[in-house]
Amino acid sequence: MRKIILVAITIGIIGMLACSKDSANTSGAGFDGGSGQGGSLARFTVVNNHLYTIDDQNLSVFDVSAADKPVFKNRVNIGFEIEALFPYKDKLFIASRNAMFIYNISNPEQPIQESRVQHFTGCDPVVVNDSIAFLTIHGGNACGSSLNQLNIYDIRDVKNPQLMQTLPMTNPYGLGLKDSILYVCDNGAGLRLLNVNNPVNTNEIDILTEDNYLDVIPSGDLLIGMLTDGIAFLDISDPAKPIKLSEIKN
Amino acid sequence: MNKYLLLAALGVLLASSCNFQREYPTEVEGYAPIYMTETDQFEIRAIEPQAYENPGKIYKYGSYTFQMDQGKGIHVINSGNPSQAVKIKFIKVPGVTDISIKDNMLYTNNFRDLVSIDISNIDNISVSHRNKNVFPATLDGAPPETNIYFECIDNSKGVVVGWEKKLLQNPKCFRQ
Repeated sequence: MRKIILVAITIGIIGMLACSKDSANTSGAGFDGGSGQGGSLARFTVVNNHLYTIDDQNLSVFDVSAADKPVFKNRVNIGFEIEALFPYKDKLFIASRNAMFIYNISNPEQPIQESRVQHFTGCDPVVVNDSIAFLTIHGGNACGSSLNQLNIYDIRDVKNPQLMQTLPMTNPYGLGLKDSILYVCDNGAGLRLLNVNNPVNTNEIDILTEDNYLDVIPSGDLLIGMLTDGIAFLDISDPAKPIKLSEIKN
Repeated sequence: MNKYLLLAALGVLLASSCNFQREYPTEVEGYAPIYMTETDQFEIRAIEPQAYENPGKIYKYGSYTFQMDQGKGIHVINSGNPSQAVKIKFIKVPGVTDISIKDNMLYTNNFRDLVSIDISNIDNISVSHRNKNVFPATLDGAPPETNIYFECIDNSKGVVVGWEKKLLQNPKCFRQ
């Protein structure tokens, strides 16, 4: 009987974190090896010698130490309506429609659940650093009800996250972080720039309304934007002042 | 007495249910079936750049950016000079929704299979390995989500090989 709110989940990626993963291929003209960087909506991720994938209910682990021959190793039932996953250090943050799970992957083929954070009607994406998780929650309106917001959690105690702040949004999807600027793709509104220098007092400093962003990848001075109608590349050498360099829409 | 309780419960159920006298919206996010002939399902190859149909997730790898076209394939974009990013290839991968890349090996989903594609020479990509049926079937005649609108299946259009999430116009089906 509960009212169902359609909530999709995005796990955001911290620029700094992703960069460390990406360090093997920051220069050069071609494919230089190493692993790449996904957006916050990703359901596949490579961590060292393992590929993690999520489907609706499961986390699967493949050994890719021989890159050309993945070996299926394990499948862990997580729950229902799993939407996105996000690696951070020796943890995987997995977001489902109504909860966020934190799995320890110190033993890469045996993920162990460390905590499960229930959210009222639904949880969404996460951008994580050592102490803060940013979650977007977007609601559809199948039942005429909707919930659209950004939640900011203190996760210093990963087993007991504390809600620090909630900001209303229009229909937020992916997000990304560079330095103290959080980019939130607020579908229908624009790309929001939030100053998260002081997370308990997060404030919006700008919104880019020219395009409709659904996800972003911050990578060094470059911000790559997934648009509803294509892709955009922006310079974020000043993270608070993105400058569009090019776009492809056809 | 029990009868009244039951009636009361039913009343609450009806009052709180959105299924009661459902009105189908003219525009709403939901699922549309992806149709395909059986033989085309597992064909993976690189072709010339294609126009966007349903731009999806993005992935950065070195000086290249990959963007899914949901269920169809992967746009390969040379973004080494981000001021002049340009599509250079399109890798047809039916059923694709996600990728990840390690050491020039692109891992992606071709419906239920995990496929490893060697992209070290983008002009001559090859499927290195296929892990069959490692992903669950999501097809049971309804989209992979509950409480959602979807475009009704039209069997005259072929086999339904997947569902794509999109903005629907006048959907007439709903999965409870």
